[in-house]
Amino acid sequence: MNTLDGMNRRDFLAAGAGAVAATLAAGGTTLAAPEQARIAVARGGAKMDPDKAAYQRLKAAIDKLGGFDKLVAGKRVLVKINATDKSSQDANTSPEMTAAVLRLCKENGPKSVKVIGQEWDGYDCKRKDRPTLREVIKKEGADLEELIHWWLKSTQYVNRVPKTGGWKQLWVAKEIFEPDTVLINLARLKTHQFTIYTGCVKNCIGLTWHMYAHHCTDDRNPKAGASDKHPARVAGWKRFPGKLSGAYNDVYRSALKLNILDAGEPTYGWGGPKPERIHTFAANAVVVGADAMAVDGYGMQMLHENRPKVIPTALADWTAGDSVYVKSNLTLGNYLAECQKLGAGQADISKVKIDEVKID
Amino acid sequence: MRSRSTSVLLLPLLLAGCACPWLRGRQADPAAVLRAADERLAEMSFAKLTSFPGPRLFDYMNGAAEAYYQRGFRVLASAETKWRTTDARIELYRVDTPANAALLLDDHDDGKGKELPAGAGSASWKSKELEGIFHRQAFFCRVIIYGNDKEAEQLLDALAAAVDQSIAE
Repeated sequence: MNTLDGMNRRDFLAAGAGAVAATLAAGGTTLAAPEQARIAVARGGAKMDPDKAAYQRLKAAIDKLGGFDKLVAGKRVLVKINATDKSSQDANTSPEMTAAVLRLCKENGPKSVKVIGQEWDGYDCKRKDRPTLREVIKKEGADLEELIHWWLKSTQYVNRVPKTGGWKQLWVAKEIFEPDTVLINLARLKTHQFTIYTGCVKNCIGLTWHMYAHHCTDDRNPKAGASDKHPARVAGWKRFPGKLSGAYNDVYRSALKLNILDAGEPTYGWGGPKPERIHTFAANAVVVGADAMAVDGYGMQMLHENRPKVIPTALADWTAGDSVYVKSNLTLGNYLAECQKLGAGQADISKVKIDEVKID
Repeated sequence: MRSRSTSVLLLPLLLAGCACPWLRGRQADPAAVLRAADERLAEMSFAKLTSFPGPRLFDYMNGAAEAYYQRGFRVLASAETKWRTTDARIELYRVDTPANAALLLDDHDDGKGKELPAGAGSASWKSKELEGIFHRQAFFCRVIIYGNDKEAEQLLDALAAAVDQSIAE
């Protein structure tokens, strides 16, 4: 399983999973950032069974980065998927990639594997002749912890206030910070009606309690977060790029050990904006790396290349042009670019080492 | 072929509708509408019928709730059902005015859908799933059918018609 043979230590540390393993070996303290962000992209399997194709893509990409065993062996593995939508599986991390990640974890001797997140019943979203997310989680022998919704009291969260972004409180799932825990971020590549793009960086929001605090001036008040007419909410969207980038750089980033972008069928039009309706295209890909910014930079590029007049690139001005997504961008900014300014990673894919592999 | 099969499915619905004058007057409560629709559909039954009033819409959905609040959202009733091998989800929203219900349809309509046999205005799309939407009075209804074959088409038409007829005139 481990493909470290033949790699020297420098190469290993440069690789995403290698850097992750080094981080873990140091008890969670980052020893050294990789000299150059590195991602692996696996493509292919269009004619395969979707479950087999997802597994083979993932395994090929992970092997390119040095293998999974150093990352998960003996560890408590937490997997944050995106299960936000109960009516269409196209809005969530796919069951096939979820199954692939859980299976690959299990094959590498973890202490435990658990899916965790504050979601909206996407676990039970149906598709004819396909399993639900809940069914694949159970089938692969993983646990599921549904974090308590933000209007209910919970002891699942701990307050970790970012230094930047103007935060006063940020309650985050405390399990992700526990020793011997490996957090794997498994997001669906898709557009977002208010923020243009959602991938690995934005998926972290589902690990927090008052997730709408990311676009609300009031970090704690559920009534403010839930009302589109509340002044704190109305004013909040403009603060989203600053708040998310601060939270990502100061809080989530250190907990994330691996980022996986499910790009088997990237999704447009989830929730709009009008006239967009939810639809996908077959890309048969997965993007993997330790740097969520690099992974998202590549994902954004995939969407841009598919629809260049509609989707901007990762670090472009997301307020320029007449794309319906740009015009609906309530944040009036670009959260990936704000992350980049903070040095939270490398979303400029011209500066990312990209290992591509085909499985066909 | 679709219309013949659909007629078979809709026949008990129509007969039940004729025999159920007590259904009138339930229009304020979408859950009552869905219960009435359930009674009309002899070949299936609704499960997990749940209401989400006011701010509790966030119990049901994430940030997408904002689109409904902007249109005077009052209460949602949702249910699931299954006919033969096909699952379905029904969402019935009541908003403050018929005009806002029509605007909700407009919000969701890309102009490329087909009309449904239901509602004052409607649209439906065929992808991996079927989705149909319509508005009637102060109600906006969304039906998702987990399939895209003829059976799914029949189920979409039948559910939309049953809910539409159960919204009391």
